[in-house]
Amino acid sequence: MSNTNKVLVGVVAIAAFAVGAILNSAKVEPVTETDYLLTTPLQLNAQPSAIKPLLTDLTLVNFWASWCAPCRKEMPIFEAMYLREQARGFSVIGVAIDTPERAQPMLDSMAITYPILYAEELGMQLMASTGNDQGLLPYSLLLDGQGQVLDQVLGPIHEQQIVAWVEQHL
Amino acid sequence: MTLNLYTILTMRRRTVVAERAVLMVLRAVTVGLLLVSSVVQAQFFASKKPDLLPEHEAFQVGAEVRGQNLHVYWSIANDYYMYREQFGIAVEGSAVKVGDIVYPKGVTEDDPEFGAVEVYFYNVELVAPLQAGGADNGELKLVLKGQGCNKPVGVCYPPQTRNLVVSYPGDAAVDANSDWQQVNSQKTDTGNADKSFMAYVLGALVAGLLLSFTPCVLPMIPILAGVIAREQYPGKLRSGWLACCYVGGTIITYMAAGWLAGAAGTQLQAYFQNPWVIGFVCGLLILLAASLFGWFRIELPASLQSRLSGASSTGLPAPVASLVMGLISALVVGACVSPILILTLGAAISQGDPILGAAIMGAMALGMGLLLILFGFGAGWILPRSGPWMQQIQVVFGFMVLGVAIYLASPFAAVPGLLLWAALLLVAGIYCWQMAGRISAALPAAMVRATAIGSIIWGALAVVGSSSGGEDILRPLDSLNRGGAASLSAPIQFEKVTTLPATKQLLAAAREAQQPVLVDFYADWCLDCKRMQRTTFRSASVVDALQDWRLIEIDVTKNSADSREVKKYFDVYGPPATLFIRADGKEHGDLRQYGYMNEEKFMSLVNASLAETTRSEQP
Repeated sequence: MSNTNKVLVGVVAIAAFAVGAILNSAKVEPVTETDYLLTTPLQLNAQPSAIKPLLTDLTLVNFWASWCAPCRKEMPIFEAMYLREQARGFSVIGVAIDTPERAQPMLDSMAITYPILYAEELGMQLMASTGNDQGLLPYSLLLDGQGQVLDQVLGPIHEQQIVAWVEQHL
Repeated sequence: MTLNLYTILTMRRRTVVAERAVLMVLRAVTVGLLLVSSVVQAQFFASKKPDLLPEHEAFQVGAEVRGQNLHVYWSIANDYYMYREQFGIAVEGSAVKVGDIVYPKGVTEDDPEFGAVEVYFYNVELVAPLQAGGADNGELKLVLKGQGCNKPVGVCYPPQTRNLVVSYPGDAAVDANSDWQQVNSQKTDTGNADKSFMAYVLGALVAGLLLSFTPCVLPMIPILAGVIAREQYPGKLRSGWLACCYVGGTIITYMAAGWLAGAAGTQLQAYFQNPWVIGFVCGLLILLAASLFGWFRIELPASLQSRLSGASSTGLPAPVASLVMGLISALVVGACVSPILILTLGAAISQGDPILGAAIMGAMALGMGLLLILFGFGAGWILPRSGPWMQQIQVVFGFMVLGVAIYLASPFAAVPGLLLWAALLLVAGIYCWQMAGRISAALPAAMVRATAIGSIIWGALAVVGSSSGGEDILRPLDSLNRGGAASLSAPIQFEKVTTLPATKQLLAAAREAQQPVLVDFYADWCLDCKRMQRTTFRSASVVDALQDWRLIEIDVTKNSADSREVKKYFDVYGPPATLFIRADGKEHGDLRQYGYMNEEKFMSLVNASLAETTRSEQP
């Protein structure tokens, strides 16, 4: 293949990818009010805890459940990024729409170390209050140190996305 | 440079000019494919832009009691799937117990954390036995659970719990809030099954024979020759017997594949309504056609082929070794003829019958092996030799394969089927005409010319037809006749409705007039519905038989509240569904059909419904 063709093919492929990526971001309502999300007490290691005291400079709050296969796929990525970027102020908080009995074996199998808050049914209301009325999973919110929403993603998150966030905000 | 079609297609002239032209074409095709893929990808994402469906649209559920079984239908929107392990059926406030659910075969998805999980796309029917527990007031309160996700976006919906009330027990298998009535008569045996069985098997045999004229079968010859050569001086009978064993081996492999496809049946069938699957199969067919035109070769690596042909020195007795070689080399050939295999398997799947599936695939393998058996009996001369004539046969076969691709794709509104047919017929006609010029014998040349002229004329008619909105290649000029006197082949005219009240009104009118009614559920996106409109509903005998019937077509193209209501009322889970209703307004429950019906099958049901009606009128 000639060089011209290589460039042409590359450009077309990138264009195709970009079109796909732009259209791929599914819609959620923008979040303006996060008090409910931040202050509602949930279960952390069988103790009540809200999200707010766990916030770092940049926090990814990820809603998940054991019945959600795409969630299981992305959680190892979160764990790896959490371990790598912890020192710079990045952290991950998992909010499980699940009971500890069902979710803990799964967490153990993936060796997740970032904090997991159990919300069970309450999690649906938390998601609804932050723009995800239908309770679809996986759903993630990127919060700054004050708990303001920097970004929100419905669907799986790729590693590059987290890298970009860390570069941009930290 | 003369643009001689013959030269382009067969690539016989290996001049520099030709090679450069090929390279240019290949390059253009590559870039074109990339462009198309980007557009398709864009459309793909654009199509789901109107957001994710509400959960009640993504996953719909219906249920009915039939005999002692509870049938639960989950109807799953396009792009969505549901997990097998998440389904649940429970009964509330009743002593009736639900037994273990019988699941149809699903699709296995790989989950990196949890291994293989079984999921369902499109529709899934769960069957669970009911164990009566004392008197009931005639209805069951069901609590149905399920959970699913959207595949392209990769998001999951929370577990669904749906409450539904069905009537129980009783032969009126209906929703409690639906007053629809069905009567069940004895199962009618149509007796036509055998005929279509034979038709399928014969068709597959012919397809196999045609395939044996492609180079796909050639790699089998050295393998077979290797097996026979083990014997010191085999007689013709002995080597013929070995060849039979060998072909028997290929037949066993294919029959097993056919059996599996038939057994998987109804689940896979839904896939063959899916534009992406059809698109994929059409792509494979076009590739095969391109290779038949000599643009590139599909074959297994030479190393594997030679290993197979050399592997006959095992300790097994010759016939057994030959059989085993056949078993294995069926796979060798499979790689080469895979588009045709997929088509044949598709036929097996659409029938949903493992025995028929095995028979179809077996017949095809036999067809492919007949020449080999003759070869075994010493008729070496009968084997096709690669030569110019062989190349021409291949090109003709390539045209046929393209025709199959067009046939598969044409039910989609976006595909200009008739125009593609026209182009194919014209190109094939011109090619044949040029080919005839190279045939020295007068009679064959004349025959090829006649075929060429026929093809060109038909193609030209198709151009005319498509410009006036025609759709059917078998009746290219039909669109010109529309509005004229009703001919026998005009499709039967349905009264089209989309809502339940409208349907009820028509049914009431029919009951008043003591007319039997045919209710047909139809949707624009339903390929089988369109196929029935084009074939079954145009056949003279059907048009004739339905003259005194009231014909209602319920259009459920839109997934609207109206569509759901009418589907729920009749307890139909999706098109194509055909309901036969007696003059007294009750449905022949056991005659209800989902899926495509050909003329014979349809007529047998019409006759069965009439016979049943007369019987019940004379108690």
